[in-house]
Amino acid sequence: MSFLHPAAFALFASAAILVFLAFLRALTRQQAVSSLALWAGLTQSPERQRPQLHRWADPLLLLQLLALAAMIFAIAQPQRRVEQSALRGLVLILDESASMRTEDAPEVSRFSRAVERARVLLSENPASRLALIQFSSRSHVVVPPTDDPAVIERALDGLEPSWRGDGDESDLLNLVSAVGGLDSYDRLVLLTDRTPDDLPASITTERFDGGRNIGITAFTVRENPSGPGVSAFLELRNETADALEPRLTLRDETTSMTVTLAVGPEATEQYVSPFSSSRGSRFIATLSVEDDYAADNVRYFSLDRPSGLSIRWIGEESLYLRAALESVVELRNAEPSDAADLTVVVGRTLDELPPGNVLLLASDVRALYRFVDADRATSGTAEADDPAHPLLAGVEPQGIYVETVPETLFLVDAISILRVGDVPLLSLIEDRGRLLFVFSTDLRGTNLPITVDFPILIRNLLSTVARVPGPLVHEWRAVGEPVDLASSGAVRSIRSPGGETITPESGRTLFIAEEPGFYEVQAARETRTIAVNVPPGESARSLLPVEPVRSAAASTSSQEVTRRLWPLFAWIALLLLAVEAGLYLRFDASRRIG
Amino acid sequence: MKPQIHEAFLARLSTLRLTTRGRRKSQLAGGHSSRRAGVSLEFLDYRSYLPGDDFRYIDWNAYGRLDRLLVRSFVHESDMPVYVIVDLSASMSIGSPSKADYASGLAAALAYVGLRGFDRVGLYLFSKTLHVPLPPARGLAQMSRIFQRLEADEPRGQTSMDDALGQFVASVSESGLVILISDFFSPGGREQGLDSLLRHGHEVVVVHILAPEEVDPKNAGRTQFVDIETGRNVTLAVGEQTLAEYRERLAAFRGELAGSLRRRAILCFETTTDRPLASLFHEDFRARGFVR
Repeated sequence: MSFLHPAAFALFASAAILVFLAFLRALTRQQAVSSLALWAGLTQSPERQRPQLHRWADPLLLLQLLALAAMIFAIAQPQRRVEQSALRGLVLILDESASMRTEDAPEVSRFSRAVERARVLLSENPASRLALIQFSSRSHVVVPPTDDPAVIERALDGLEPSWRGDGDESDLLNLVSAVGGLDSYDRLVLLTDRTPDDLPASITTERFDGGRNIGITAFTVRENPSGPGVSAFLELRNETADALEPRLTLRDETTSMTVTLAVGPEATEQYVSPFSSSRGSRFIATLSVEDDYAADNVRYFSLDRPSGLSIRWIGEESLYLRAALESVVELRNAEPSDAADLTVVVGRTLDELPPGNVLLLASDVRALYRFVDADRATSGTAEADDPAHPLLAGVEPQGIYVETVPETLFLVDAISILRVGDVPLLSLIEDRGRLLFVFSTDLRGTNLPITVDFPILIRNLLSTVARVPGPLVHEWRAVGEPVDLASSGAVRSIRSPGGETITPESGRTLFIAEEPGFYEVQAARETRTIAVNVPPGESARSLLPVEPVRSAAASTSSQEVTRRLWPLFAWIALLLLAVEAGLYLRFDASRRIG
Repeated sequence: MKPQIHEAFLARLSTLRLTTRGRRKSQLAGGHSSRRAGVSLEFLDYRSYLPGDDFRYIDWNAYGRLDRLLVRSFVHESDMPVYVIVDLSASMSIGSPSKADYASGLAAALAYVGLRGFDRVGLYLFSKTLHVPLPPARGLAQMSRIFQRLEADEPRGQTSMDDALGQFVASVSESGLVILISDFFSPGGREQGLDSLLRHGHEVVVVHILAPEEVDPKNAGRTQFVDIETGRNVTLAVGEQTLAEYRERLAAFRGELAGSLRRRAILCFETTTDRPLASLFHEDFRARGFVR
């Protein structure tokens, strides 16, 4: 303890005045009496006539001396230097987006490093007010304002990086306001691997980045428009300084294929890869490569595809035709009680047509058309009446040779697709909302089954009568994005990629996916598969310019502050004087006559 | 002043009544027996029947035995005005609690006893002269007025008991019970005032109050004693010898006062301010028949 004005101690000499006054007061005390007649003329005691202090240990005098001492100490302005943190408050903001999973160091993720850094900041900056916020596309307050560092420590122990994308700066500022506002804290530290936009200068950013990354930044699947299977569209981003040739594996529920791709250094490349053997609807693209951010090496895609085609045969079954159909779509025989997607009639004359779409091979229907004058059967190469017709997409008619085709007399309107000479070979009748394909001769009388055009023609035919290829329906979401549940009717359950079954609350219309993979939504009307991926923006990290990390510890180390003690002594002096006055009044009353 | 009196104490006083030693002469019926025969439960005597006497008072048993018409007469119970006179000179402010506070509590208690006995009670405060009096009245509303008057006044000025009592006698037309409460430190004398009260037919009861510090002082050393009424002072080196002489002088003062009152057949009570009022009422007042 030191004193600003030590000269004030000279005032202790005034204590002598107090003692002297007390001495004087003790010499003669004044006392009021009812009548002086009782006292006047009494004999005085000689021993009491000498001047003397009434009591040396007068408590009032002692209190006065103590009060004087306290006042002199207050005037001398004592002060003490104490070590104290400069911080009133500290807010730790941890980026929990998926990119923080990047393991820049062996087995150590950016998030782990950020947590450790948070612990260091916590220990180096003792503060009276602490808060912890996680920053992502769903930023939230983990620990509201507290004065207990142990609460923050326990919260840090339980933190895990999410699969979500980057957070919004305005959301972060709202959360900071929720825990007291920028002005309530001396230091706000954001531990992240990105360069946030437009943050106030009072929020210090510490960056965690570096490492190597190559990843799939876009992945989508479409039906192959010109053949069986699908086509996968991919975008690869190579953030390393090396040209890489990663192996890409595409797989669906049943089959897979692998290709090797080439990506230049620090480049973004796009690829289209046919996956003709695929008949599935759930696709996974996996990049086999050694890098530090594994989350973007796998992407998911879901495509709503028909599960198969029901078919019914009337007449002798054509093995060529079945083979061609099965190359396009999975076939199953229609139950007798059900209507088939396609009925194939071979070598029959029908009085009545079966329901649904019908492919008629060398068969006639009396009510619609009939073959006439078989002797005038024609042979030769097929020709297209309308080469742009969808049924002929990819088909070269001149390669089709027909040994014999009878002339057909149509009783209803029919569209001629192919003809041999002037005799229709393939015609199309639209009959009350359904399609009738009339192939006027037996397949065995043509070279069609052994041409490359045959499966193409059959696929085009199926594309017309069935949903092949089906409508472009796909479900693709990023982690953290909402999924609309209302369109599927009442949702019974949601099965997560990890196999967990989630039962949504009644009336809930939105669902937030929190991990990458396939979510299966079981609804009243349908079962939907939703592919959920890590936000692609999380892949673009390591190429960002690295800013020097500003050390929060350097500016927040503890410092010595001067604590002034004069108010304490002033209060003590006042208290002592109050006690002395109280005692004096009490004694004074009793001394009036006593 | 703040009368040191509580409701519980008043409740204990509610069964007490002030008594007088002589028969009163008031025309009003009350709780005190008078020298006139009248209507009450206290039998006085027989006398011969005279025409006009109330038949209800003929003793028919006596007629059966003596063959004479005799009429019973009873003690006439009349009311008695009670005058409570309290010294409020500056000397009454001495002590803790002060003699004035103690006197005001005692006055209120005596007034309450009187009013509960259907007496008319008045309050008269004095120092050098008589303060504004509160004439006698009956009923508990008078109690409220007495309290207000006691609380509104403070001890002040010198004591002149003779003058004050003379003013009192002149201001009242009806004799009654005078209760005089004072420390009797009256430089101008008190005998004339007391004699004046007796001459006017008042029955006088005195309560002499002293502070414990006055009875047994303990201070020592050089002390300047200041007369609280006159301001005059005397400085003494007080020792044991001084205090012994003081006690002798005080005893002489008290003896002289007691003798003076005894000669005038005035009932006198002496108390100190540290003595509870309940003790004074139940040990002294009842023992000596002042209340019953």
